[in-house]
Amino acid sequence: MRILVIEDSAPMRNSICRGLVREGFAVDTAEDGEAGLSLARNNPYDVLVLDLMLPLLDGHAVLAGLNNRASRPHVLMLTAKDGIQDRVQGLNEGADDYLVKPFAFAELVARVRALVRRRYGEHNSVLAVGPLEIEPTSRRALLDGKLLDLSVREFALLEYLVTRCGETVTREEIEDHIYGVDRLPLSNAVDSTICILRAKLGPSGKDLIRTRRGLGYVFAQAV
Amino acid sequence: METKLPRPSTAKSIRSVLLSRLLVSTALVLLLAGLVVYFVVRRSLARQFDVNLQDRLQGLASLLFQEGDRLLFEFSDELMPEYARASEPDFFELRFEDGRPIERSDSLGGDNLIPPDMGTDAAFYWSLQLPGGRSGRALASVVEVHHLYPEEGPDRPQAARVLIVVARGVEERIAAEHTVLLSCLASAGVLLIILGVLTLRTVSHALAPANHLAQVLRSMDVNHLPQKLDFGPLPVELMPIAETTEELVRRLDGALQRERRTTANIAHELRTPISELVTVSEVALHEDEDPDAQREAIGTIRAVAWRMGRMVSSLLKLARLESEGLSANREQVDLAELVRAVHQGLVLARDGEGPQVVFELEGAEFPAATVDADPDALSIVVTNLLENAMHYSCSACAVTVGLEFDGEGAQLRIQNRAEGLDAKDLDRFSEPFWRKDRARSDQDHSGLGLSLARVLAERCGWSIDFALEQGLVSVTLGIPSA
Repeated sequence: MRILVIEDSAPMRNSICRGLVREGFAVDTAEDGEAGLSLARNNPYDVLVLDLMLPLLDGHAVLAGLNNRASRPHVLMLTAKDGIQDRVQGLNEGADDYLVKPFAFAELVARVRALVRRRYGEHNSVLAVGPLEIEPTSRRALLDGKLLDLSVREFALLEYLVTRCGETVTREEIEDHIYGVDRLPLSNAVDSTICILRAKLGPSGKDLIRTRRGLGYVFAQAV
Repeated sequence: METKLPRPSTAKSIRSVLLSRLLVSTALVLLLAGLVVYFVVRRSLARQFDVNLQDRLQGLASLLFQEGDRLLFEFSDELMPEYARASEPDFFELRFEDGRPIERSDSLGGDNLIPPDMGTDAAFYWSLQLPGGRSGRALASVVEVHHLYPEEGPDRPQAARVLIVVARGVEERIAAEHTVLLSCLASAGVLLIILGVLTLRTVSHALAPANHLAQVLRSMDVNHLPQKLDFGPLPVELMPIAETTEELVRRLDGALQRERRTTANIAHELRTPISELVTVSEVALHEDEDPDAQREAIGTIRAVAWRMGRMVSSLLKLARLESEGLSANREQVDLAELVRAVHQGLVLARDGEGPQVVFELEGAEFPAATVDADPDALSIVVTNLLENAMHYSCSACAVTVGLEFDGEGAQLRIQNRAEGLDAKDLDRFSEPFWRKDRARSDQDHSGLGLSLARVLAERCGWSIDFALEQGLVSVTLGIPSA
């Protein structure tokens, strides 16, 4: 999943970025509202982690700039203001969730995951499709109850395909959501990862992850 | 919860003071008036009594006649029954000048009416004890007896001179005086009651605006001070109180709002580095396999902690300056030299980076380019003002420092170009943590510099004025001559 972190404090921005990458997200960052809004408008992010107090353009203005867009990412607002009025204002302006500083990093990750699930219409914290179970919180994938040994990138790709279960996902979409803007992969990195995933899924791997020639890949609903 | 101040036992009510003083004054006036009336009436009664005695004496004298050598006294009880009545009779006695008795009233009994030494007085009044123990008053007068036949020739005997004394009891007069006294007292009492009621109503009516003023102030919500107080129509005497109160409330509201903003800003500014410490440390705890990342995180934590420490120190310094007095060590300070030294220090701290600073120091041309000031305080103020200008100046612009001296003191002016400001921002320049761009404080700038400079300058008796003209911000530090 692709996350954009807009935060002007360098220590906060860098730490959040590193932490979310470690959790398997593809993360881009911006240090002011203008740069952040530009990135958000031009890239398909799943979640925006948006600080309220930003230079050049504050969080409220960024939200306003994203409204009325068709594929608007979910927004998690970060702020040091904990007043009810501030929370209500943020939510009314389009934020999907609100986190008051200082916060536990684990809570940030949990809220981001919840927003990702909401974005794809999921209500459960465990994604189950046929014999496969994905536990995003613990970064575990189980096939017929057996734990799969997956790298961070492999898990992220499998998770993305499962959340888009039944839909054809193009290579470009996979690149956008799994890799950050600064980490453009080699042209066949997606295909290589798909191959590795199929191998680790075993005999049913090819049936679970199907190729749509010329279009992309689809995670089948049933084997 | 309403808090009432303890009222000292000596606290007095305007109403009670007015009422008591007015009533006491009225009572005294009425008492005085009553006494005056009483004594006037009493004197009048006494005079009337004496006139009556005089009439009675004349009446007795008119009954005296001389026929030849004989003296005739045509008195009868029927003619003058007052001398014969059984209860409270009057008295008379007639004597020759040599003291020989002539006639006396039966009411005298065995007593005599002998006047004290009359001297040369033709008539003599005196008070005496009458027979029977009654208080009385007597009149004695020597009269010439009329001849019965005045046509008698020159051989007629000389007219006899007779001492006539009449006396009456004063019971009626005393009773009348008592009646007058009681009437005066009763009238004064009734008047006092009527005036008291009228005074009470008048005082209540007069104090109604003051009560309304107190009611308006009492109903004010101290947590939400109104911008304008509606006192309604007020008398001229209360208008200064209302106007001053309104001004005080307005200023208090402004001060409370500034305090709330400052408190919120301080909380926000402190939360930010705390958030950084929490996030950086939590992420670093999971980076066991990346020692370089952990080392970098520790460095970041250290830098943030130092920044917090500097911010807290600045806040404490600001709080101390605002609450305590400043012990100034004044001496003659070369202001131009101090400004140059501050600038050099700032350039050194910035490793030579930052906007150019242009000095327009005229002080060097003047023989007395010094000010009488605390050098440490002056250095702190100048440092904060210049550092602020250098920080917010656009990178391609220069900061201008001007210095002027005149008979009234020195004026240090620092100008920098800063876009995006407007006139209404000037009032908030020296507010803690305020900045036009609402982003948090950056790594090197706490947002307290101008606040510190303002408070310190005020303590030292200096002035700091802000001005904005066409994107050019001017801060002028005024140091008066000693």
